Amino acid sequence: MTLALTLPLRVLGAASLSAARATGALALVLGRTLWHLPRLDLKETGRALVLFGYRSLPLTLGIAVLTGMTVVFQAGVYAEKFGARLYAGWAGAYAVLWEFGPILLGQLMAARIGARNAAELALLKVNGQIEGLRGISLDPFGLLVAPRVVASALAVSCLASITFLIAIVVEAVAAYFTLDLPPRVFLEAVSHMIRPTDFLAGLIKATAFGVAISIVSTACGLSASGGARGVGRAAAQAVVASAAAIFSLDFVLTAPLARWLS
Amino acid sequence: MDLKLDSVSVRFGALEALRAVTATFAAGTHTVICGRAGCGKTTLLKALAGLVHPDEGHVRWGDTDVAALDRWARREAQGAFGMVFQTDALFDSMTVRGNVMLPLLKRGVPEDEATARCDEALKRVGLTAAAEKRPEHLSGGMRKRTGIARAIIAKPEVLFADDPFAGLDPDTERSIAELLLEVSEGRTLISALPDPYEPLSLGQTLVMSEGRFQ
Repeated sequence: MTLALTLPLRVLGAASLSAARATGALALVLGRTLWHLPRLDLKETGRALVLFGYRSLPLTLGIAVLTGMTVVFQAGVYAEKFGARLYAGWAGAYAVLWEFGPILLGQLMAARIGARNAAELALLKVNGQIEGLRGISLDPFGLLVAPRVVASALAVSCLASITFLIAIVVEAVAAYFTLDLPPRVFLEAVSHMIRPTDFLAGLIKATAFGVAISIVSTACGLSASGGARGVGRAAAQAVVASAAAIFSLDFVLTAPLARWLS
Repeated sequence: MDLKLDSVSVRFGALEALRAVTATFAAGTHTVICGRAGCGKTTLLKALAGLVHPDEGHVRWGDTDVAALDRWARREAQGAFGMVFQTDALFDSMTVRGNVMLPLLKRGVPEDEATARCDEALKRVGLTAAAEKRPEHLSGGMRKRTGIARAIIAKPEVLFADDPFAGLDPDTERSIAELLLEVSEGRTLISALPDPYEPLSLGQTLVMSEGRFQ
């Protein structure tokens, strides 16, 4: 009887403690990264940029091409149905800039950058390298964490710009083949109806997702314990938590950005 | 300066890793702390090195209570300590030279000076030819030597060695013991080992069991 009464409280207490611990870990990673920004290790940041950004380029381009084509195929059905072919350019670009581009890129990067970052940090932690840095009186945040967080945010925002541009160009080509709409007409519609602020909105969202991925995956990696299982758990947690953070941020950011940028 | 533990207790949740341990490690002496796995010897080394904060008691480095220092002052004090880790704790993304130079470069030592001191440290541990190799291409003994070179490059006053012979064959073990004795000349050397080890036990040998000295 007593157990039945206290069980919900225990579950609630455990969930609250877990949430508080996670929030604390995220705040710690963010705070200590900001603290180290003025003394950022440029060499390590450059290495992380190559790893997270440059090496993600082929995958990102693939996503941009597929997203561009899919959006036009989908929009084309309704554009033809309602005789609004000329609006296909606006619809395609708007969808890519505001939703499909940032969200799909964010999810892709959560899997690629987030899992990799969490697994690497987890391995460094379980193998003792993080403690090794402290043992030679160096701060692991300055050397390992801050460069990764900065590089991840920068990489995602740069990749977002490329994704948006490639996706819109691919949309123009796809519209030519599916809607018989000349690329010039499609791109004119984009340039007339899409404002720079739409591009900015996508960029802000993608950058926020990049920051979220890096902070969440870093916190997951640094909280790892045990051996291979701990590393695997950290990588999986990083992907799931990053994906959840991306959807939550998208929900939180969309309305204020739309109001602010309109 | 002497290093002292004054009734130091360390707890990890319900586990009491150190139970009111008191000990003095005189400057320039060699000490071996031995005991079974899980007896608390690694925690003791970490508490001495300022890597683990005691729940009770004091860790004194001369007149300074290391445990009472804030993060930045403690890091400053840790500059006098060097540590050889059981797991080597080397970065595979860096060469042997990069790993060894790391403590100096991060403390703002000019690259020329850091390179010269690195060459000297690598020569001392017999790794000059492997300077540009990555740790993944080194044998266990060479990795251990790299860890020793990194630990001594900042010229520490105290050298901690946490199970430095783990995973090494007897010949390599002997050569690492000789190297540790050589590089710790004039320094305090505190080693944690599973068993008493003759070559390193020139000073005191302390046996640990269940978080305290026997």
